[in-house]
Amino acid sequence: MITSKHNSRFKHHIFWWSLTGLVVAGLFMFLFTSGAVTDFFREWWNTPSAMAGQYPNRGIETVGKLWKDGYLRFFFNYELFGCLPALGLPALIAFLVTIRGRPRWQTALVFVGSLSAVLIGAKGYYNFRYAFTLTPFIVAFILFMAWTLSKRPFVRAILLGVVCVLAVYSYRVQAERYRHYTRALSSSPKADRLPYGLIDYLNRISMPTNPGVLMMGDVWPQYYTRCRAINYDHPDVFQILQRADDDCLTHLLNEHSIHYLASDGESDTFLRSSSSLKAFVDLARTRTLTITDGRYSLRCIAPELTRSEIEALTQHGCTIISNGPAGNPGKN
Amino acid sequence: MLVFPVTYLLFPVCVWMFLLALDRRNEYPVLEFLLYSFGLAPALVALILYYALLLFPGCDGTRYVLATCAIFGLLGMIGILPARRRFAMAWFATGEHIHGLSAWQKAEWAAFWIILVLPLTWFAWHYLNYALWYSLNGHDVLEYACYGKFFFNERTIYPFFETTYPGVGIVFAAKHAPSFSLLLTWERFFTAVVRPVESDLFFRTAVTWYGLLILAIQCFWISKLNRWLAVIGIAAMLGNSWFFATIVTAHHLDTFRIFLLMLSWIWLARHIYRDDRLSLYLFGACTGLAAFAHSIGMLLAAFSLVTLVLFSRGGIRVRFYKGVVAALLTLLFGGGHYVIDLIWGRQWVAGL
Repeated sequence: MITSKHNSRFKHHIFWWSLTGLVVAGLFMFLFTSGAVTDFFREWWNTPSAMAGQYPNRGIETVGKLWKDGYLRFFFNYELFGCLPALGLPALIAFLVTIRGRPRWQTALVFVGSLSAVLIGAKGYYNFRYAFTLTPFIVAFILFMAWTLSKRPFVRAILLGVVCVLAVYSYRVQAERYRHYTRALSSSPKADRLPYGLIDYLNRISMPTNPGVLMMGDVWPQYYTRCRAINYDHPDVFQILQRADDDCLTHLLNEHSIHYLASDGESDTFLRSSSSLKAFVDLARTRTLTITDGRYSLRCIAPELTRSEIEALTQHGCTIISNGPAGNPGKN
Repeated sequence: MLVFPVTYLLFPVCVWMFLLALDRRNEYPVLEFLLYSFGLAPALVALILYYALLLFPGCDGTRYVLATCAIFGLLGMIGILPARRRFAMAWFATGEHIHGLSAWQKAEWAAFWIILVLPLTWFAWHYLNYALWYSLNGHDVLEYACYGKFFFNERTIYPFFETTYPGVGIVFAAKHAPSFSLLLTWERFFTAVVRPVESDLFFRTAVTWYGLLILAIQCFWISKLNRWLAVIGIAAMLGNSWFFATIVTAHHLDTFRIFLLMLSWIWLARHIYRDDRLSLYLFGACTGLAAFAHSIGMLLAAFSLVTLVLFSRGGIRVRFYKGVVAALLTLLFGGGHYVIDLIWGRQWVAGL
């Protein structure tokens, strides 16, 4: 709990802190409106980030985004974490200003929290889940500071008012996301979340033929089917995939009995843009028969589709696309 | 379905009774221990299974289930007498407290609980009817689930320390200890005792369970400042759309690891404030479980231990001694996985 000694010191300094803040804000506004800083800032903000190539599609394409949605994501990722965490930095400054006289356990928690924030920001900036680690602590810290910074009801009411306004505004900023999630809370599980048609198909054919499935994206074949599933980065097959020559698909079929490549649009994009498998993905796109439900696809190296299988798949909403010389579906 | 009451109710009660037995000076609230136990029990189940599969691989699944139940039974038996006494005292004290409240205070108390319970009931109804039935989906979650399925099928943890496992096609790419995956293994072992089905219903609820526990613990602590501030806190946490998504359909391990990190820091602060042995032991244990849940927990465990040495009371020797005790407990309660991995495994720590 905050002591009266430190409370009076805070009151003593609050005027000077407010004045300094106003001067800095005024200076900033002047420079901003004068245009010079705006241009400089915009240029800095839009400079391509060196990390963008390493982590594509992570929202850190420019230097500005790298800072806002990367290093300082705990505080400024309004789209996912709401607006309230933005108060975390002012709350931390307020804590540091009033640190004298605070109990040791409070200082210890802020110390360990700050160290953790620096580590997660510096090493885990590319993944919002890592930043999410600290959000419950930041929210609790903001509430704690809003309540304990001053015992005067007026100041406390203003601080809590700001907290409430930002909390409510967070719901508005993320309204679309909430609509999406609350739909999940009030509707039956949607069939399009998983490729049920493809799962059923693989489970049906796994009994007589025991085919291998190469997983180019999510590992749903390994979890949901009885097929032998193998990751694309498994050393047994990775070398073959990297060659991406004319015999590549034949090698997969003959040496590893891999009949199918399971993938989705996202993994195709990812592998084409950031790995040495671009050539293999292109090869697979042109040289296989594709069964797709629009989102997931199963590329058949040696298709043995019967007419009844085709009917079963189309009943599940799957489409069959013949991309090349791989085969001729529709045997009786 | 028996796995739910056993893992979410019976085991937590055993842990709770054991914690009450450890608290010989009656320093900590009964309710607080109960809240923590609800989350600690499943994490301990994963830890027990980890050691069982590591030390005694290839056994029949029923033996693992019986061993886990026996350990929790033992914890419960150790704590049954102190727990009865403490529970009776707490019940009596709560009754007296409520009796001593004015009509206005009683109304406020009731309003607080109604405001908490009504949305929770609404959520529970919708969750149990709809969201619970969503299949496991998503890249990371399915990988964790595949690991859990693999441990169940192979009855060993050893291949997890290697990158690949011949004949299966699985690639162990996760840097984290397999705590979360072992919850699925536990569910499969437990259900197989009665009827072998490929169930993941319990595994799917874990994230929601821990999300609600995070809210409960935040509410518990903030309500010490003010009851209505705690309500604002819950509204603010749910104003984080990702947290909301996580507890509804994400199935990811986020809330599981955050909850354990939360306990670790609570006991860190508790120890610095009170300077007693129990808080030190619980800090070490919870830090270990947090490390066992995720590699971030392991990295932050180092910071927590440094903070303990810097901020706890006593001379430098005493603080160093406390640091060593907490570090040993951290290793014992799951942090040791990373040491095993460093010596015999994939050595991901060395690549940092």
